[in-house]
Amino acid sequence: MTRFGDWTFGRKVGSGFAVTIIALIVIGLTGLRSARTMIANDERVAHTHLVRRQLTELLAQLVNAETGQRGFVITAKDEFLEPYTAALVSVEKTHAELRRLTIDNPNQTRRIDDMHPLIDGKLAELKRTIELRRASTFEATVALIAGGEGKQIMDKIRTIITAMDQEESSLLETRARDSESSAETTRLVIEWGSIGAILLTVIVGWLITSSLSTQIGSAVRHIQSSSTELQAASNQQATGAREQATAMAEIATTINELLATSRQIAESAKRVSQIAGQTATAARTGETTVTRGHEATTTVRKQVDLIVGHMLELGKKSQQVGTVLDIVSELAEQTNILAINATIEAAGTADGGRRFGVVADEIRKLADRVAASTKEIRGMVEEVRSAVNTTVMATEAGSKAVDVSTAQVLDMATAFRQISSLVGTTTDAAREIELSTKQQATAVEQVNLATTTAAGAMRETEASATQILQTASQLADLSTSLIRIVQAKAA
Amino acid sequence: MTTRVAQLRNAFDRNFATPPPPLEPARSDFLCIRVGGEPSAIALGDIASLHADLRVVALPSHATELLGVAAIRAAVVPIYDLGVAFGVARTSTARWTVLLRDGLAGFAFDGYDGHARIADRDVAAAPPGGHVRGQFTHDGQPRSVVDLRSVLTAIETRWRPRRPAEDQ
Repeated sequence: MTRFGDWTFGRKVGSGFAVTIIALIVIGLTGLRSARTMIANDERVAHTHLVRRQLTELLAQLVNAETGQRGFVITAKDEFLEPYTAALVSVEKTHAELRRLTIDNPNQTRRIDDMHPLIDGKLAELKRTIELRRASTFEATVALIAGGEGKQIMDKIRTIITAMDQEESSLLETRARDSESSAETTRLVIEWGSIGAILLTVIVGWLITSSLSTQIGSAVRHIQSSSTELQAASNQQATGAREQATAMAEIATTINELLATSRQIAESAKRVSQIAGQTATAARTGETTVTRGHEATTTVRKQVDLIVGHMLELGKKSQQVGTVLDIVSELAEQTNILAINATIEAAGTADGGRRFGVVADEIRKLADRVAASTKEIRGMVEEVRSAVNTTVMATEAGSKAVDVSTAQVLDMATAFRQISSLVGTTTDAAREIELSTKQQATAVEQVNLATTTAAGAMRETEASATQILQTASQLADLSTSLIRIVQAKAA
Repeated sequence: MTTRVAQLRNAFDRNFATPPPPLEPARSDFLCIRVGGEPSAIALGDIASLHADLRVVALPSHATELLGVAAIRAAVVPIYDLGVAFGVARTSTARWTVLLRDGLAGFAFDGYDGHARIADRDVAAAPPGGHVRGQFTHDGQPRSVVDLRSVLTAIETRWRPRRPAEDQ
């Protein structure tokens, strides 16, 4: 059995109306039964009143008959018998009516049966009295009346009627209480039934309203949330579709550039193939040239060895020059000392000594110049020796470089042979590249066509996403309105 | 090199071909030397001769300036280190020696820069009380003229042996 919260909308509303209708039916049936009871009690009360009125009427008719008998007896005129005559007809009807009305009450039936001979006796006594008055005198009639038979019968009738009236009075009290009780019950049923029906209706209505508000509110909030998510998703989808459309446009542009590049590559590959053929020829020529270069390098190597030998010889000669210069320098110094000492000696002599001093000065100056020249020559010789050393070192480095160059030339010859071999491979590869690039260009054209179609689809997707976005916005507004309608608090 | 030799030869010949120079203002000759690395000068009139790489025989002595004795012109002469006399630490590079004019002593020094002939008016007087007799500038370098006689007197005064009478 499912919970009340899980019932459907129609089931809840139908159940609410069913409960309310059942309550109204119960209240109506109860009220109808109480009303019927009350009506029956009222009918019985009215019946009792009718019985009592008939009893009073019967007694009044008997009294009227007796009144007419007495007026005739006194006056002996027939017009005074009119009440008696009317009573003879009505008494029998009234008695029969009483018997009909009290047929359900055995006591009253028995009393009416008892009263019937008395009424007949009374009417017979009245008849005898009236006939007597017609036939005789007033006194004879009074004497008959004074005999008391009529009075005794009338007293018995009054006694029976009084008993019947008392019983009817007792029944009237009982039936009046029953009628009041029925009326009270009916009032209570109507009042409390109405209150209960109203409360039940209110409770059922509250339950249904609350449940439906919760259920519909939850559903509407779910719809609102879903519409918001749908709005965001459609917005994102629109943005994504726009970006994708832009990207597809860029891709189309790029593919066009790629197509142009592929064609350029094909042309370039073709040119590479041609150039590779030329390179193969150049490589073979280079191999021959390198072989000649190797021979020239070997010759250079021998010349460098000769240069190194000459430069080393030059270094030895310069060392010998330095030794000679040392001797010259020492001689200049000694000459200088001698000149100084000659100057000193000349200073201590007379005029001839002065001229000797002049000569000594010139010798000293000459010695100074020789020393200076020797110093200068020494510097030059040192520079020559340094240059020779540098040249020897450079030449040795050159010799080594020539060795390296020889090895490199050999490597170069090998490399040229490899180049010649590889250029053939390159030519084949370039031709394959040319063919592949042409195929690639065809494929790129197909991709370009597909990209253009995809760009159109993206634009349609963007339009659809925009439409979805508008629909989601309308759905969100609608769910907000529904929440405002269903739940005032939420609004 | 050939050009250089020709120049030297021409200069040597020109010296004998040119007439004697006219009389010049009074000049003095100096030896430009280095004492303890400091540029100095010695008046040529104060010395008798200049020697290089003179063989000096060391002698034990209290005088720190005395390097030893050497044979110069057939005479044994004491040789003093001029740098030590001027308060510079003794070096082993004092290969130059001058002999005083009176031949009583010789002074060794570590550098000889050459000869200089300076006009007397260009030689400035030095302040009294030291061993410097004057100052001049040669080749842009100021030089102090050392008074060798004053230096020798100071050394002899400082290291002269005391007589018994002087001790008492």
